[in-house]
Amino acid sequence: MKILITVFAGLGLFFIGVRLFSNNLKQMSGPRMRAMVSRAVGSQRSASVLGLLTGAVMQNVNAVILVLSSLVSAGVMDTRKAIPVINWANLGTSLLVLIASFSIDMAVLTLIGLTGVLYYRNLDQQPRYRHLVGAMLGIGLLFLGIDLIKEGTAPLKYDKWMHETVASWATSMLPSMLMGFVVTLVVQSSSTITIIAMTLAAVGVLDMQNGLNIVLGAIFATGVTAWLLGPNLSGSPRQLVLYQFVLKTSGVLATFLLLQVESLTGLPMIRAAFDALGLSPQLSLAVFYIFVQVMCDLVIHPFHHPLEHWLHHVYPPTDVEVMGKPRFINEQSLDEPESALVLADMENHRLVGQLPAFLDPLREEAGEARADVAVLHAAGRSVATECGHFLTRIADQHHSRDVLERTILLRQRMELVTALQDTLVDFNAAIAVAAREESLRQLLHNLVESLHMMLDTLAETEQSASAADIELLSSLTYDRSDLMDGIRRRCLGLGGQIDRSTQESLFSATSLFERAVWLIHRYVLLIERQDGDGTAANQGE
Amino acid sequence: MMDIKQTLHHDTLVIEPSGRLDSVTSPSLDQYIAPSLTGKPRLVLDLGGLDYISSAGLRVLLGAAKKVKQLGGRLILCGLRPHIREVFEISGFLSILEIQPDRAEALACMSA
Repeated sequence: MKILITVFAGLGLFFIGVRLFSNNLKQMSGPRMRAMVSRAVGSQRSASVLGLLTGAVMQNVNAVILVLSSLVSAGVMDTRKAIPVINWANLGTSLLVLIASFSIDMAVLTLIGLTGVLYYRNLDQQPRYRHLVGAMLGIGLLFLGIDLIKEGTAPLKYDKWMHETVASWATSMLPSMLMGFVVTLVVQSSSTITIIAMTLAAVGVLDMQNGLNIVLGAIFATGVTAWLLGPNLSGSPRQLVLYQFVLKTSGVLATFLLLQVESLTGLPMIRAAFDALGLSPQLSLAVFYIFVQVMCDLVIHPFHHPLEHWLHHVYPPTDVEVMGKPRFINEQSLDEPESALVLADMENHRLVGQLPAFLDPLREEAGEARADVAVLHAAGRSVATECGHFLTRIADQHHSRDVLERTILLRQRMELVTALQDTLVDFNAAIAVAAREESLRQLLHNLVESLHMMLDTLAETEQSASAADIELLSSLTYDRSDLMDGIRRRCLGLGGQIDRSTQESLFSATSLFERAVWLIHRYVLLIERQDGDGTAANQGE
Repeated sequence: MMDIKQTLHHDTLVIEPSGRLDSVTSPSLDQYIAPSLTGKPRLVLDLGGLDYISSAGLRVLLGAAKKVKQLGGRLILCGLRPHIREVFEISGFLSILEIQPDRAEALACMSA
């Protein structure tokens, strides 16, 4: 019982440590992570360093893949550049395994003592040091947990039942592989399971063969967990998770076959090499973990290009991805704030130009080629988000007053565009319901065509930025609350002629129309302000 | 489909589109209006025969109004049927364009 509770407590400390370590490191690098990734994918060397670092920090390749997926979807990088980052991230998870293989008990105890002093000095309350102190505590607890597991399992070395159970696994690779596989599926981290296996091997509870099998099963599970993410993803993100699955499966399969051949034929290969190295059981498992990661890369390397083509063929980029990629903003332009702001402005023009298409499903004139609002909305959001990150980076890098003011103005305009997109999506839904009532169709047509005209005029005004256009659109987009109130009262007067849900939809449509006109008006004021600042001055026509 | 008639009353050009003013037909109206937008144009658009107007039609009218204003001329719209008047009201045109009930009043206003 004491053994069980000690191991349980050790595992608890270990898991808390892993989570604290990873979460705090993520917090320390999080806001800079996107910028780091988008900068690093430029060259192969920096992509490999980035992969190693993200793998080491996150200790979960699926989390790295999800970050990469968001960047690929947003057009910051393509799958061709994301794939090497995944390869290196897998290797990066080895860092914790490697650290855990060394006997650093004294260093760990010193670290915990030092962390305690930092807590006593309230450094954990200070924003600057909070995550550093948290990460230190995490690594300390992690190793304390390992020590506790070692201490708890040490008596098992002499336990007959334990020896018989572990020995029974040795008849086949599958039971211990399955154990590593299942536990990793639950814990979602192969490095964690490997460290636990290393701990058990260090006290002699686990023999080398079973340890290798557990590590192999754990690494295979990381491929399967990536594959399980697939059904929730589409397009390029799905290509990335499938790549991770193929990568892990092929590497594990190749290693498994080599171990089997070695066992059946007696040819000296992997086991023989480890025996010859004469490493401690703990270090042997750590090295084997790294070996399998490298093996995955080596096996997949000759098939890299065909695999990329196949992935692209099986899961081609979705419409949202294609439309949601920024067309103008790019990494290189960040060095030159003037160009960067012009490009962000062009991206914004593009979004404004797409706004009239949001009403396509409601218009008979849109014809067969009408846009899919859900796709437009998702793609528009993606571009707006990327532009938001881009503007943040411009503001971070260039502190001149002019650049900051223009960045703020552009950000405000983008926020209005996003608000307009959301409003138009809701407007679509409300009109679609209200249009079921025949007697309302003329009114709904008038609302839709009027709004479409204003959105078209907004796109034109945004392009020309002429004083005449700004003045015209500004006077056209006055407050419509009285007019919409009148329509709502008229609708109430119809009494029982229309049902309640239709009435509610009409009320909603009129409110959304009112909001859209108000947003357009605010946008025009911002164009006017920019025009007033002399940055887009095209006076008259 | 859309028919367009035009007549000259003294120095005022009256253009009378009828039928549908949509994305297909609005370029024709635009072409009709464009040559008259010189000097200080005096233009009456009699929309009494208009059955349908879409955003493309609204934009042609808005463009004409903008051009006339820039040239210092005058544009009056007249004869709006109730459903066309409603779309003008919702669009905000009633507050920025000069509108009269019928052609006679529009011409009277123009010569006043």
